[in-house]
Amino acid sequence: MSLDEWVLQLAIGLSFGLLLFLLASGFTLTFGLARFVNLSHGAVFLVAAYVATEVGGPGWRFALGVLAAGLTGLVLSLATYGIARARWSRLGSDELSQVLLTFGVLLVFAEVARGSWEGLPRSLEEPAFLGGSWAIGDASFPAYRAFMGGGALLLAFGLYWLQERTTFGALVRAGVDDREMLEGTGISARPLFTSVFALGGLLAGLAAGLGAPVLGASMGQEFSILVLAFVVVVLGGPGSLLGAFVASLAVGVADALGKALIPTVAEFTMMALVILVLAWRPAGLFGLAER
Amino acid sequence: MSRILALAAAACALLAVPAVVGPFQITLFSQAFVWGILGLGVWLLLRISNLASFGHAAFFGVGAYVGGLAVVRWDVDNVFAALGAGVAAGCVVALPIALVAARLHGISFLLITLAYAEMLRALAGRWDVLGGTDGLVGVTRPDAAPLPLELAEPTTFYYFAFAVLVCVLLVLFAIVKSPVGGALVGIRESEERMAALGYNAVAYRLFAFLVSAGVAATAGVLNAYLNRFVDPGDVSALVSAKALLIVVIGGAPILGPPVAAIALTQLEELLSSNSERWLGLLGAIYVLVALVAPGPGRLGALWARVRLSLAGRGRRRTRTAEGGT
Amino acid sequence: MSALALERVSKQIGGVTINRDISVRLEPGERRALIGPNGAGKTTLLNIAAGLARPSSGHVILKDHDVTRMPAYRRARRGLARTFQITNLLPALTVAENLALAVQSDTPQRWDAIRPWRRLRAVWGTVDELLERAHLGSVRDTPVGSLPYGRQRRLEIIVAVARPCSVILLDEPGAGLSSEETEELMMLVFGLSPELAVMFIDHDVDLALRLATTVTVLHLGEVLAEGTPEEIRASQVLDDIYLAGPGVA
Repeated sequence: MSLDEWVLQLAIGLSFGLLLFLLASGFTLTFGLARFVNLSHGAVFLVAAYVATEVGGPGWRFALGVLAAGLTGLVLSLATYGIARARWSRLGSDELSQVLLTFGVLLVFAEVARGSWEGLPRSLEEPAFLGGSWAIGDASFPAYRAFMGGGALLLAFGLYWLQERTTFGALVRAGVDDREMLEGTGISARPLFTSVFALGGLLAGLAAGLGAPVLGASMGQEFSILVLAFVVVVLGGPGSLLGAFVASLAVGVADALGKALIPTVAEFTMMALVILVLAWRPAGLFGLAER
Repeated sequence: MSRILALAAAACALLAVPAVVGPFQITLFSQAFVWGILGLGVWLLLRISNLASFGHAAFFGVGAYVGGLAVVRWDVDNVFAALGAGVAAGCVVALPIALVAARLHGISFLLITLAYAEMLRALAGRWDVLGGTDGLVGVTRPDAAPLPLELAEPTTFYYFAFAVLVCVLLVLFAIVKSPVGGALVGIRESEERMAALGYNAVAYRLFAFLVSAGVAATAGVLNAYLNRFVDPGDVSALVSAKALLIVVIGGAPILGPPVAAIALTQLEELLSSNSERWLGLLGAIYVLVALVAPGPGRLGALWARVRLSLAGRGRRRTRTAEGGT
Repeated sequence: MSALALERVSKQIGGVTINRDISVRLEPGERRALIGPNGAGKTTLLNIAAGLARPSSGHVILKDHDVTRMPAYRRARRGLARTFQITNLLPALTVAENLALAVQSDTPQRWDAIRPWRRLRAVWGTVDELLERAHLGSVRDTPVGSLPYGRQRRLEIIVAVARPCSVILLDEPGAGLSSEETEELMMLVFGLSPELAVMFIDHDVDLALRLATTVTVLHLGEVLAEGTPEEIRASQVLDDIYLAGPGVA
């Protein structure tokens, strides 16, 4: 591969990684704060992606599609939370039940998508003014990907600001660090959890919307995207946003390079990388010490 | 004593099934046995090492593909050889995960096993050698030498699958009740203490993991021959999830997974023949089970109550190392 | 040849020095008390000796073999036993089962994955003997998690010495027990074999000085003093490091 090609793949990987971060951040926050494994996240992405292709359109309708996707994500995520709240006291500590519950929700959401759109893949065209491609030497980089990455980066900064500079963020960080302590201060956990679920869903939906011109919407995404998000969360350390950020970029780049260099075993090299990192650092790159 | 009677009765009932039902149900029961074996693999890992795996489809799928390839490409016409190869392959595939398993916290392990299986599935869909997304078709059932069995016959295959299930149950039962089983429980309770007593915890955990993977692979090989077909769907998260569901419904006793598998298979059949949206309905079932099951295994709790009442006397049940088998 | 030797062991974690340049020689039959205020690095030193932690520098020699790099379970196989400050038994298993695991750990039975555990007569016979000697026969089939604390501590010690060992490390054996109970436990250990080398940590300085043959005083990660209990008592060392002198933890 020429240098231009390398840079191209790097750029593709980074832009995808940023998108992945949006998806993974919701998951890692929910897990870090509420100790809740939310497998339905993948299906939330799926439905939101379909909604984006349905509502979105040429020109300014594109933004509408993205927003609709975000809203869908938010609603679906809250729905999952609502279902889980039916037995929250027991689910809170029973990870296996969480897994089964959220997997069931994933199946239901996926079925909704399959039923509403006949299981056919759909795509969304990027708005004309964001189209075209940029030349990197001999290679050409789709301009939309830059926008996608940029948008995701902006949202990431927003999340960072929220996490570091607001009371809400402080509460979340405190809760992730030591939940008992947070509860001991008398601050009710429920509105905090609700907000985190809502935020995670919103981000996942926006990611689906932003990514629609590149990834489209198709059955099976609920698993493929989910898997990547999980890898990011485990690599980065469950609960750590910074870890998720670094890991997202790493996974995105590894994915792109893997597909470009050794397409037949691309996933395997990624898995090998993950296993190696975990063997070296079981808690993830920025993982919090086990409680 | 009453427990043994109940067991014998159940075994007789299952042996009599082919005489009573039609070929479709016979095949369905055979499928249930396959899921039961897979569930036992996940059960072992969960009960003994406290590890919940969402990736056993990886080993199941490997077993299935090996079984398929044996017949379709390698000209191996013996079911026992295929089983052996499948188990070996399953163990090899399990090694990387097994080595990291000990150091991973429960949730991370769950996620990584899911990711691992999904990646294998993507691989399976991509390799032409494995038939790509279409998978391997035309997998005929091999010979069963030295036994004079014609596995192509649904009834014969039923009994064969049943026999394999019984063998797996016996092997796992023996392990759980053996000194190694006791040591494994000890390691689950306190790895530090066991190390201080001179036990090589890593070796024991690896053993449990490999047995678990081998059992899953066995189920995979059987599945390939039962359905005469292998495809990437055999490595999907749906398979892993089903195994977990079976274990949760079935609960602590070793017979939980097979019983739950029979129930679940019948339920799935009912749903899929009555509705196109059966996957969604299945999802709803998962949600219900998660919400309603009182801890690991409502069937287990029922089973415990049945046993107590059969025993008659109010003997105090002390918890044993084998987890209430 | 000493039973156990720590040579110039140091341990740093993240910039903080927990143990600095500590050397201890433990001879067969010796009973060494490791005392010192909180934070002196006693448990860390014990963990290093037992193999649960690696020293940043220095060596651990077990009967002539350098075991510094050896994992805990291999040191246990070479005759090193230890107890834990926080009772580290197996709560879901019964008293007898806990002991059985200890007793069979040196036998090939520990690899047996086929035969029923209950049928190993040799193992359970030894278990019952030990239970009798330790007056724990009555709770043979009770899950350890339901035992009262004192009995658990006693079982912790019995389990540790159920295997042939030449060195035993005790981390606060009397934690949560009265002085009399602690002394009773310690005499049990000492009575096992004249060749047994014992190193124990205890907060009760009086008790430690009474039971030990030699004493090592640790303070702020370093060996402050070493000697017989009489020598330590006579010196000013304990006054210096404890606010109100010996006898106050």
